[in-house]
Amino acid sequence: MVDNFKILIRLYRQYAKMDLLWFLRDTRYFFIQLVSDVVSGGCTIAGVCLLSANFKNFSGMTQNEILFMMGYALFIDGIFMVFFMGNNTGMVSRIIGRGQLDHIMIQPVPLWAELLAQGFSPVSGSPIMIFGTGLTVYGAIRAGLPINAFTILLFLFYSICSIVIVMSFIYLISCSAFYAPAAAEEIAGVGKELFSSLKTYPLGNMKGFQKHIFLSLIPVGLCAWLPSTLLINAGKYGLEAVFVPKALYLPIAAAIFSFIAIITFKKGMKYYETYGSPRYSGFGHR
Amino acid sequence: MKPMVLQDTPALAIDNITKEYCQWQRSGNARDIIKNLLHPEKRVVTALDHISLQIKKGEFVAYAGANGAGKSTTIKILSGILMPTEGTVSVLGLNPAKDRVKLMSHIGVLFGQRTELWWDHPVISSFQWKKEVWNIPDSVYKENLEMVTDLLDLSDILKTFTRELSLGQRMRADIAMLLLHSPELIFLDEPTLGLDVLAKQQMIRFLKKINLENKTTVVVTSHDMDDLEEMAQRIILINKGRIAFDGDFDELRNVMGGFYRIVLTTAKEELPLSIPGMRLLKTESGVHEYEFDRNVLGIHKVMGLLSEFPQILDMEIKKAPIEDVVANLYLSWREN
Repeated sequence: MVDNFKILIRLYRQYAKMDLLWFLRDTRYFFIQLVSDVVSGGCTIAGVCLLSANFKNFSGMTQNEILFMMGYALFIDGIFMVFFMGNNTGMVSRIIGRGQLDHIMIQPVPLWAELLAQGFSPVSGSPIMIFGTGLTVYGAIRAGLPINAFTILLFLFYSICSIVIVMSFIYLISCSAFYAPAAAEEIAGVGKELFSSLKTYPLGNMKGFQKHIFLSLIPVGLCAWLPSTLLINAGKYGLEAVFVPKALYLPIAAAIFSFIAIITFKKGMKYYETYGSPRYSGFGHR
Repeated sequence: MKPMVLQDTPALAIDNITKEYCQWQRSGNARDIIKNLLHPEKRVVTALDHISLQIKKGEFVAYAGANGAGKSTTIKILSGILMPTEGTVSVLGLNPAKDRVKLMSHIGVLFGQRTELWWDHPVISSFQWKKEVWNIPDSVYKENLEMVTDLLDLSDILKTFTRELSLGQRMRADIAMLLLHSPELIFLDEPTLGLDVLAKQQMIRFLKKINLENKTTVVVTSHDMDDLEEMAQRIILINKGRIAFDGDFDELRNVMGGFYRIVLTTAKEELPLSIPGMRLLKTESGVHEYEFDRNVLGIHKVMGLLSEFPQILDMEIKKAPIEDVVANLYLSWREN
């Protein structure tokens, strides 16, 4: 366990270094990327601000609370960019479908450690996270939410739960690439797009079946709306708003999703090791 | 360069392994769409069929066979990427499926059609990445880096981005990276694929050197039999998932009849000579190439026969090219 942790740290350090070197590989590329990230981040924030300005008490949330939720959503996207965007780690169906697991399996490190670390891009992936953090703080101040150690820790905890759900969902659907490598090669992108486009939609006024679906099978509501309302409640009512069934649902859902994703991925790996040569797959391989 | 761990076990031992794949069959007819959806026709492909073999430490072994014979499957099983359907595998005394992480510290695998180098980084960054992931001690890394840079002539490309390398340069860099952790055993799947003559010669010289001087066990697959003969001491030929031949290259020639070639030069206008016991293969501008079985027609008999033809200006006797020997072998397997 300690050894594996050391391996993980070593890998994170190496990928951080490689990301920095890649980002600074060329002055021209560096400035182009810097400008494009600033423009992209600015557009995201502008879009969100304009949207929130037009919706007062939309779906049970005030304009500033929606702004805070947008900030949370952007922060989750930022975590994805920093930890999972590099080397197709977040688009794991590509790694599976293109037979690139072979490259990882010939490395003397556990598969999970390499898959966890190789996407780490703390430099090139950070702009969205910085914008997300800024917007969250701005939204929290505008909404009158206290910013202290308790709310920051709770925010980070819920953020981890949300990103675990996003990644588990992406891994879960990406496992289909074990069985249909060519057909499912891009399915992780579809999963990611689902969260990007739907997670900022407030579910407050949604009733019954639809709401349950978005909080369970298609868990987009767990990656911005639910944690934001939980954080807003925690900011208003303190600790007593944290240990309620509604607040515990998020970490429990994250645990369940990650458990199912790990089991499914292990099954997929077993299939890959048994029937692995994509050459003989009925769905073909390039 | 010294191996990091020494063990008194065979480099690898394969015991009765079989590997089967399932292959979907499609007729290509629209009327079969429903049938394909409900009851798809599948065929079991036996890529490896009860193969057993052992390779000692320090051997340089060529592992060859026609397309689809099961070469890459074997390499993948030995690397722990695939599991055999049945049978046991031991590489440096370890089970690749169970001890993959430990085993990978001691072996190197290179798939010639892919690269392990980081595409958007200079070659040296890939090497440094390898050092961290493999946790190679500083002294070992430094020594090996100097050795591969020198022997593979890498100094000019170390700072070049991988995507800007030519195929030959990329293969050299890939081989160099493979050796940075001093593997005791390396698997090379078609390492000379697509290389020009010079790059190929350099690669072969280097592989022979590390085998000879460092006692690194090398298992190499290729379709280029001349390359394999130049590199390896032993050749294992597989056909339809079974070992069809295991021995040295001269034995292989003998299996195919011990055929030799003789090239006779005469005046340009001279017609090919009719020599008993020899089969004319080709003739062009007074250069005639024949084939003869050395087991039937000894060299002394050949000399005696040729002395009766004063029109011969020059002659050259050589072994039958291994490419032709193996091609005939593949052909005979196909006909059977």
